Amino acid sequence: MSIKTLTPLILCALMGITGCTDPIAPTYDFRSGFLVVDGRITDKPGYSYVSIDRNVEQFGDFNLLPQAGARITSQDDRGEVITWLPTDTAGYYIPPAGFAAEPGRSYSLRIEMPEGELIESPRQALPPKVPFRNLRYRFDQEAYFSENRDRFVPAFTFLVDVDDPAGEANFYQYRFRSWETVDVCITCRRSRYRDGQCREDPDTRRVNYWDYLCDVPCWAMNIGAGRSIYRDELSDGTTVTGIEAGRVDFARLGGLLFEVEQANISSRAYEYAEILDNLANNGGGLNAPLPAPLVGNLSDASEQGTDVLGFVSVESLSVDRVYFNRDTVNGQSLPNPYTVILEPVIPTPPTAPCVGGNRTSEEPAGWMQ
Amino acid sequence: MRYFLLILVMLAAAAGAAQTYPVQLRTVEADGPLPFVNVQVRGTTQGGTTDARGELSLELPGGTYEILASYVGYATVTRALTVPAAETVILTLEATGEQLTTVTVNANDLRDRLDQPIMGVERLSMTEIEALPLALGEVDVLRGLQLSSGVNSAGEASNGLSVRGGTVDQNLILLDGAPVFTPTHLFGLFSVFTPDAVGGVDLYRANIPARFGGRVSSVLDVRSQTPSSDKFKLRGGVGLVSSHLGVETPLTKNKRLKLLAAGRAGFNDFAFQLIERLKNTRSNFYDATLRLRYTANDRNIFSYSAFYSKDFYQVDLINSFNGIVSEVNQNDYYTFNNTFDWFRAVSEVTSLQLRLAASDHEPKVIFPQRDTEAEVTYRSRIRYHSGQLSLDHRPGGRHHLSGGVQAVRYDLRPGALDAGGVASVIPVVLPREQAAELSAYVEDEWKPGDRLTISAGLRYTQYLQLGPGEQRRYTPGADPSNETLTDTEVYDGGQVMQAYGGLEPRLALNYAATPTLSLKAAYARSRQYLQNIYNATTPLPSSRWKVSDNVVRPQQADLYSTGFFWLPGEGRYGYSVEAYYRRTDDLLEYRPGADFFLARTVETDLLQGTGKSYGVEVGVSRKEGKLTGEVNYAYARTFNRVAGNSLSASVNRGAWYPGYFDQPHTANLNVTFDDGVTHRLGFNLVVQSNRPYTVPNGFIDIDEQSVPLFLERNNARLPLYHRLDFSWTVHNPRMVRKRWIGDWTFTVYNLYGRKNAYNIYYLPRGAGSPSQIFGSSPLGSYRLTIFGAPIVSLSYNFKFE
Repeated sequence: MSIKTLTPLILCALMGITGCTDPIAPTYDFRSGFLVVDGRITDKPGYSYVSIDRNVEQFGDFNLLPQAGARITSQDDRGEVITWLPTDTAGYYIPPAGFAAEPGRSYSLRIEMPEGELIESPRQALPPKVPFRNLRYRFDQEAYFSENRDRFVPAFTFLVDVDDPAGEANFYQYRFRSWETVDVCITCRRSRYRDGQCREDPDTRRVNYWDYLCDVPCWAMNIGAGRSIYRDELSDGTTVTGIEAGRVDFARLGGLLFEVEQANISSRAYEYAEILDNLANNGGGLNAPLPAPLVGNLSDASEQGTDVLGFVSVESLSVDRVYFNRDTVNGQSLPNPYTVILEPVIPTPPTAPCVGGNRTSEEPAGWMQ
Repeated sequence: MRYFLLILVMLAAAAGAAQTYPVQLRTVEADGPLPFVNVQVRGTTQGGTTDARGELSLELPGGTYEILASYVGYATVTRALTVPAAETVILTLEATGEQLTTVTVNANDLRDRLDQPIMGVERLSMTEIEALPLALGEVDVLRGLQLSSGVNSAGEASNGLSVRGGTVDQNLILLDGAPVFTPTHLFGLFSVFTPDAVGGVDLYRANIPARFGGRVSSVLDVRSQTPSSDKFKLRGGVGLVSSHLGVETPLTKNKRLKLLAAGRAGFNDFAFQLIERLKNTRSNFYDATLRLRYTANDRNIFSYSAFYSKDFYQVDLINSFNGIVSEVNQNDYYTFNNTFDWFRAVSEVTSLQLRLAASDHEPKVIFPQRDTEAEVTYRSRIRYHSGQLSLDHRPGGRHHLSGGVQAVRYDLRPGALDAGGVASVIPVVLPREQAAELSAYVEDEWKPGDRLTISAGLRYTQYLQLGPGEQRRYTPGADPSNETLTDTEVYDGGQVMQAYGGLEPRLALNYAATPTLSLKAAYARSRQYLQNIYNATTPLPSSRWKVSDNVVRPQQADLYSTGFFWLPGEGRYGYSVEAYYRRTDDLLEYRPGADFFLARTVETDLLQGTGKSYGVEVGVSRKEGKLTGEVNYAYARTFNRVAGNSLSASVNRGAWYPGYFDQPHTANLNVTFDDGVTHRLGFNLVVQSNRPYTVPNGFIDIDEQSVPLFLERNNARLPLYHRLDFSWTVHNPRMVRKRWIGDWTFTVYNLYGRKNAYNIYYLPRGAGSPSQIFGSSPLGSYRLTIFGAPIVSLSYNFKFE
């Protein structure tokens, strides 16, 4: 039970002082030699993955190095073994295309590291799927207070409803991502965009920047930071309305496509997610929970006994999207200090391709215009 | 008051070589003789206790002397005396806040500290507490005690105490014998005790008298003021945060029934309206104390006291509390204590006291639902009932015997959730917990010779966890978890589910090596059967209480202390040194990520380990003259060790790690200058090693968010804490003796505005975070300061008599 910033706020108010929290230079007590594994086995093709990093201290710096070369297999309760495959991203592994966990089955994961560690996750049943419905948003002009911005922030909170089945413990975890269009596909500082590059020449030295529009309709995807969690301990068997699945600041106008991914997870995965939530969101205040190690459900069975942090969960996924146009919102967005400046050239400045990052020129499913 | 109450220890007899003269003394109060008053002749070894008629005869050589008469609950009287004296010397004492108690030590006076065997006791009178410089001008009992060696705040704004490195719930806080489970208002800003009704405070941190038990670190014994005035008296004050008022008056013509009633209220909503980000915050609190005293005759006195304290606050907060969807939390809690005392003087040397005490604490957390009137309410409750009969016997000679029996019952409602009409919330009621503590104790203060005083006590407590309830058993030797649960047994009401017990010896020695030097040693064992569980550094009002059961064993502490007290020359300065070592078994720790909110099997989230604390406390104090004060320094360490069977059931891999209140170096300086007429100036300086905290051992990105990695606890220390406070009281500025007397008090807390860290924590960097400070770190680091600027306040207090 954490009451995050309650007391400092009261005290600040009593004393007429704001800013009782001051940013200071972060210090660390780096430890090395442990492995961090994050993964999930899901019932939706294309959503299962495992990432492996090894913590190494180099020249006093803390590094998490992706670990290639691991041999990863998953096994179900019928004894069927599937070998996972490395991807182009080092340390990131996926099962063969089309793999999906099946209802009623249970799965375990085994990782053999080239360094000799043998990491095993316990066998976990695929939790029963409880789909969500009625994905919607709610706008609040003062959704939360941002310490960094020193103001209340307007934001859209995305809500879902769940018909929770009676008689069983259900645990829910929400991730989200969103898409919005982008107009500017490249910005050149002290240079101009020609032949696919920002090129400097004597004329551009006094130019701060020029923006170049995209050559085709272009969308950028933003992955929501963090997860939110919910359990039915206090609502078993009821229709739960208004579970908060994610939040996006009202920072600009235009269309927004929002996707919620709900995972039904196990109680242990929920406990792990709760620790993660405390570390990410509840560290401040007078009554912050004591810092906890991210000890999940993994251990090294080899003689090396390397500490393994992280969790491999088995998840039933439900996904839905909602589209809306922020132009119609009755509220005021955060100020956007950025001004688009196009290169003043006749007849028109060149355009840039919709590439890089999380951009796509392919209209995302569910987008409406 | 014609009853027997107290005998203080006499100074060792010494024969004078010069001719001596008889001196007759008589101690009286407003309505007659005051018997059994301790009288000392300063600078000599002469002294004694007045008899049942309030009379005492002494033999003194010719000369001029200063006589001190002291009696618990009465202001000490000092009077000059020239010998030979022709007439009986009358010493008139005025009651300040006398408490019906049969065993009392007064360690306030330096000379008493020389003679008393008891170690580690701190006594504060309300006058002393009121003189301390305070944040926001509020009078505060707990904050005053923090100037003593070995007593630290549990946090800058927290009124919870850490005594010699112990945790907050290891202190037994009593108000008139009834425990106060949440001793603070406003989430820790002030202590709850009504300012106009506190009579005195004793903190026992070394040799805990045998009549107390149930906590392993200390006992804080707060007593409400006894109504003693024969006239109507009014006092009160207006301050920044709260205002208070108290009356004291006789209720009957014969003045046998007297009343004291006092209250305080703070309504601070207006302050929050001034700050944009806090406009939805609400806070108010109040407390009240009532005390009635009925003197039936010269052998029977009845006393009743009641205390009520209430807090309410609300803050914007999106906090799902394990599935309760709400944007705001409202915290609402009260404490309601009642104490009834019957004191009977059986004879001139024997007295009995019956005390019935009850305590009721109910914290609530309310979750108002958006766009409806509905509210989800979480509530828990702890009730305490105690009956205690004590006997005090002074057979004369060298013994002072006391003893008694006590029966305590705890009724806990660990938590209940009221859906309040919200369809998606199911009401939850956790099973109640019951327990009883049956204790018997004896104590003898014995002077086998002129130099040696021994205080030997023995307490036996039988603890019983009572049904109805469900007892869960786990695989022996394994960490309790859902996987290691073997069986569950259901018990009916009244059945004993689990029993613990044991002897708790208490021993203290005082050896007067010279007339000015006393050597002291003490040992105390204590056990704790009731714990407050919270996965944080300090508890919330709504934090859960838990009785010991078959899995959660009682904590046990053995405390050894030794030291000396030296009062050289004329006794203006007292020097003290105390060293201690405490070992605690089965102290409580929490599994990483523990969450006790409405949890049914809390034992699976609890860990138990071993603790050790040790330290040396040195101090110099001066309690006479216009300039008084104390300087003290403490070196204190405290370490814990929790070695479970797995990484998640251990802390720091089973190695010793610094406790949450491990603060190696603490120096306090407090100085008060009182001109005795109008002005009183006070300074208070604290320099202290700050508490341990945990810095990350690395970081990791999960779901596009950086989170800190922790592999161990308490691996770093917050920056040095230091603070200077100032207070200036102008007493009765017009200097006219009237019925109405007003004092202005001006205080500055944290005079030079030191930004002391309460905590340093790490969060993922958000938009707009200052990269010039955070550099390339994926995490931002923030220092939380409670009072980071000078806090100036002005308050007005008055007395009307």
